[in-house]
Amino acid sequence: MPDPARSFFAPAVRAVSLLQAADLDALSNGGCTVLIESGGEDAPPDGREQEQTEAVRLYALFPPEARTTGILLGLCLTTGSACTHDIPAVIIAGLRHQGVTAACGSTRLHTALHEAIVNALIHGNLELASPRRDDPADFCAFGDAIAERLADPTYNRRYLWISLCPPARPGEGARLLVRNEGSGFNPASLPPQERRRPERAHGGWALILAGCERATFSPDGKTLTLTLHPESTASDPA
Amino acid sequence: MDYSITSTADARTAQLKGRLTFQEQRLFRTLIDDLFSDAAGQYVIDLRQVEYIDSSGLGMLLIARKRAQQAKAGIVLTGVPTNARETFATARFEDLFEIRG
Repeated sequence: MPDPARSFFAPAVRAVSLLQAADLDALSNGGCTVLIESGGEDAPPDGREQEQTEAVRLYALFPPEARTTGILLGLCLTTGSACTHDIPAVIIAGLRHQGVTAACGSTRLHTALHEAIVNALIHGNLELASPRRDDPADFCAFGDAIAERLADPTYNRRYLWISLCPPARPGEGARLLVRNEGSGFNPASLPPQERRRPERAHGGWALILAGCERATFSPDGKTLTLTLHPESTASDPA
Repeated sequence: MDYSITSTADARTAQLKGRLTFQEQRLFRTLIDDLFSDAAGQYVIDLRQVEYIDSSGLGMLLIARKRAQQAKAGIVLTGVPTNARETFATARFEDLFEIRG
């Protein structure tokens, strides 16, 4: 049962100081529509007003393309919390609850969403470049760099916004938007959105493309939109 | 992630448990050092108890493959979990590894 004192938005929006598993359960089973982590581990115990102000600010930072079409399911959380909880599982459960995801496609979609979130965390909020996968030393150093950045509040407290939105156009699938608080990049610098060479196909981008109809970055490079297969938007008969 | 390593006359096997994701790269370095600390004709990575593998996990397996190649030994993946089979197919791992079970 949500704490009424925390429902200072519309009832469907819930703000919490530090994200707990029960809050995520509420998001996935319809207990709330939008969940915002507005405090973090070091929030002052008497910082209620400050926390509310922060929650209002964070709500306004859901991507414009999500807010204009409506948010069916929204989650704003810190990088630290995103690394602590199984967020893709929460979102997929929420999709199922809303009848958005056909069960047959959920494994690939789960993987695509996981990779989109990891991409936003690593390259966005933690501002780390991919390691050279053919160089064990570089690959291992990458692990050290992740741990160092996660231990630094400057990076750990950066936010991530995940939202499920209705189809942008008739005949298309629902959309999952993942926005990070990093410095962004120029999407035009990416290679064409086609399957990469077989020897490169283990990359996260290939797994993202395999789980959705298409994936596109916003012009500032901070938001990745996964447009789901239309058939995934049909109600799950199971 | 957790792991254990066993040896037979001609193979060394690493049994992995848990999630093989971007958060496990440091532990994976230890695993690789342990696994390849003794010579063997074949190195086996048993994924039976692995709950989830992401693209970083795939990268870790490719690092193990490279180490086996450098040691002029074979490498085999066993017990690939159901939820990882599509990921392996997308990454075309069947072209890169001998996969059993």
